[in-house]
Amino acid sequence: MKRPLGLTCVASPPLTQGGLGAGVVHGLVSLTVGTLGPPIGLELKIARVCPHDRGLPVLADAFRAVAEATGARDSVIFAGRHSTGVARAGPEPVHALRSPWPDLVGAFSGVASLLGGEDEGRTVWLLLVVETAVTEVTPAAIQALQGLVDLGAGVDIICTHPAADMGLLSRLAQRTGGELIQASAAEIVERMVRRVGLLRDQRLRGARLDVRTPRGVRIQRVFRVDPTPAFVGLLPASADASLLLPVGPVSAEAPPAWLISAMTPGRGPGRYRLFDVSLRYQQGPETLGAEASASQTLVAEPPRMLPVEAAVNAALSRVDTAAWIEEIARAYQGHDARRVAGLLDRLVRHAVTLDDRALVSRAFDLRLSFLRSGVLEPTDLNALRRHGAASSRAAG
Amino acid sequence: MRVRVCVQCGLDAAPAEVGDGTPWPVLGSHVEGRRPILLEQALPADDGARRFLGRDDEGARYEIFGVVGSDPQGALAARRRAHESFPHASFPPDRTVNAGTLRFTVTHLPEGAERVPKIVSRLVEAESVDPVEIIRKYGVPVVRLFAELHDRGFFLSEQDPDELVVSGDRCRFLRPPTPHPVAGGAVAPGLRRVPFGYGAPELHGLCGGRVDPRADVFFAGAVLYYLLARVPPLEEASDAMDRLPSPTVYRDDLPPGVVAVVRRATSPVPARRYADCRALRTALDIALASEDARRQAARRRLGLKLGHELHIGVLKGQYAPQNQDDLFVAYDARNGVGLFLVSDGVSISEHGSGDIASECVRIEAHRLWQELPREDVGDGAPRPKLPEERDARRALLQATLDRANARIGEIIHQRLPRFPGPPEGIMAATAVAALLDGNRVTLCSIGDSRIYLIRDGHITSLLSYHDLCTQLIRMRRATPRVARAAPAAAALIRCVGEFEKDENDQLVPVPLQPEFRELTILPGDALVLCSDGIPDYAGFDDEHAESRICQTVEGAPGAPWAAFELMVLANRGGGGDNISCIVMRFEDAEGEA
Repeated sequence: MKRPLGLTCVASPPLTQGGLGAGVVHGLVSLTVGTLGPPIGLELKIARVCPHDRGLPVLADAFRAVAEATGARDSVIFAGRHSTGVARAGPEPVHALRSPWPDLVGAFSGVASLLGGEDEGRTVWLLLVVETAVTEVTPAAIQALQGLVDLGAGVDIICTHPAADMGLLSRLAQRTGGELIQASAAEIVERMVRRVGLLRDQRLRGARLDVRTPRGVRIQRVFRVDPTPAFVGLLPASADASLLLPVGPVSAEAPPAWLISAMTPGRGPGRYRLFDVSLRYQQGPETLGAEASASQTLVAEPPRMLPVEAAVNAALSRVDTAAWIEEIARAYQGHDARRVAGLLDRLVRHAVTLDDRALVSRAFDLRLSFLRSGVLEPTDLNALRRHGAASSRAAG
Repeated sequence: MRVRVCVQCGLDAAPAEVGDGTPWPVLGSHVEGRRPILLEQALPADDGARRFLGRDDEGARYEIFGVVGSDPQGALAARRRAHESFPHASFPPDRTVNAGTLRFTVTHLPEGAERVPKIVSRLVEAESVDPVEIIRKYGVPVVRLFAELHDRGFFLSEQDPDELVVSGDRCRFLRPPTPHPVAGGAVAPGLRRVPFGYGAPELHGLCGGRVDPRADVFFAGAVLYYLLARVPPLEEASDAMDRLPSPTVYRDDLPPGVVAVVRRATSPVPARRYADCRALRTALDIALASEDARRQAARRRLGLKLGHELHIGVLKGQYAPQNQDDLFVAYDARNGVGLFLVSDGVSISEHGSGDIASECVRIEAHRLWQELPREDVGDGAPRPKLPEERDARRALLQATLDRANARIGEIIHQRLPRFPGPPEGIMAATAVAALLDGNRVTLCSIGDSRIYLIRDGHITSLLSYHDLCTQLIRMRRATPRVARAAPAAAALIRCVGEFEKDENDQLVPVPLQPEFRELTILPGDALVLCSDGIPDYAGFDDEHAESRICQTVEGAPGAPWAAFELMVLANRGGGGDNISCIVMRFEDAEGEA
């Protein structure tokens, strides 16, 4: 029987001229899916977080509908930004409360908890709902999310507010192996049911990648390429040479893949290791794993015919859309209008190279409106993010 | 001839292939004839035959084709049949000889001097060549080879230019490449071997990474590019975000139609290239025919339809109330003499203002027109007359720009008799001008305003720009990538408004160094003179903007509509700069076919 998961890692450029000083190299880490085995059996519990002051406008109905569609057990929690308490629980205790999630309720409007069936109700996945224009998340909430990751759980964030900072929420979800799901209030039930279906169908648990680099190679940026292209984040230059990436749900149709950009030092001709990647996951009682590595050859004179890992560059151009958009958001927050205008120009050009006419036209319209008004509305940026993600998915 | 293997590797018996009992030679063995040929690579062949590539001890390359039997005509016929599957890698054989039960046909493959990279490097070092002849001799055979391949329903994508040989009027492959069927669709990204400087961005995985016949269009376009620009292969060919600089940046007086074809073929965006090399071949043939017509055209008067527009730019007008562009149009339809000028004032100046600088240029253009010698043909209305000599016409334009320069200095001195600061802060302007005499035009440019020639759906910028980036590339001080990243890459390094200071803090005008070009106009040509406010805002990028300018001018019912549409186009794209343009459409004069 084929192992459930395999691992490949390739780098680009695989061959380049040595002695030219520091350079940037990109690594594509992809999982390959073999035979996954039976589902691990997850049970869904939905906790409705009811803000004391605003009641349950849309969310209560949404959760009820999701509970009906998925056969989940339903609990209701009343909470506010400054207090958290269970006013009424369902027939079963809300296991999610064992997790450090009370810190989350100040930031998020609703939580659905997927409990591991074999593990006596241990929380393995959370669906967090954001209905407000979140533009920052408290350190306590971030710590709580990290705590969930340490426990082997992941987090999806479902955002219905058009003006929330979706770049921030996406990065938060990506760092737990989850996804940001952008949905209107009308779409929320459908998206949650679909996501719950995927999560319940999981055969593996706690899968995570450990990416290590040798001395001198520094990881700078990490992107999720598949199944949904997203910017995971920038890493500081002094970051540890090891990077831990939760894998999240795995499906054979769109196996997960990441793109890692790293800075390499200038050095002479030779063959050098760039990335050592190890994968660990649990299937039933067993802990399984896979290893892969990528290297680069530096030569004195480039050959006439250059070997090229085109798949890495293709992945890079897909995720670059997300990188451009987040860079624009950052420049706008820094009040650098000239840079915003320049970046919008480059985003248009980038969309042109992808031959994505719809994204070209949306980015061009945004550039025009910024030139005329000097304002970038968060809703416009979010629309661009949504569009960029959709087009990158299509390009893959 | 006998076959034995291998004196060099020490074996004393031929390691023949095991199978049907025929003693076929194997790779790594030597086929001995006049000189031993080491067999390096096996090529596809029919059953009952073997085909190899080999090399002798002096490095000469051969194709060896072997069959069973001693009939020379039979051996040649078998070889011909093998080559019919891919005739583009076929050269005339040198000799056929018997070797026991085998008969070999040995073909000496052409030497390095005829291979494409060798041709390019020879041209880089050449002093002076006729670009049209070069394109006909080397470029057309390459394009035709790929066009024939596409005709047969194949494309290559990853071709090594060193395997392409041009001999006579034909281009062939040294060895049969691995073609992809066009009907099979695009090829997905994977590990590839990409020729340095010739590989399209999608071969590197960019632009979506899927490869189709347009990658061959890029390859053939790159060959044409290096033949025209006469530069070594550029790493920037693989960039997706920027085009290769126009060949006119490297060389003056290149045939404009061919330049336009090359620029379209080497577009980094696959969708903007020709769909396949058949379309490229057609466009190249038309461009070369137009160039022939330009060279052979006798001097005559053409009909001219004229339009011009001047607009502040909807966005620019919000924060800068002065339009700093200016233009001048004068034309005498009776003898086809005209002067056309667009000037764009530089908006950042410490002393004076761009609108005053461009006005100075316009005033001097008016003065030039007034002072042109007049010819009286007896109708009581003297006609302006231009000198016959090219240098004299250029001197007129040069003097006009120099006078405008001096005028700017006088205006500054009226306010500041002793000029305090560095002269770089003085108001300045760009200028493009066309001095028309029948079907001959003398073009002149200083700064970064544009002169476009539009014909047959193609557009070419005729003169290069005097910004820092372009000039760094032109002077070979930097590669295109480094030049684009240079600080202040867009800064003008030449314009009207250049001065030095003497010891008394008096401004001394510097003799200007505009660029000139002569062009013979054909009926059907359109010339557009414009400030950068149009190409900067007419499209998503400069390539798209040029394509829209071309479509607008060709699609408008007349020159005035075209000029108006260009102004609207730039305003729709943002209107972030002042807009000025002159559109000239030429046609046969009335009564002339």
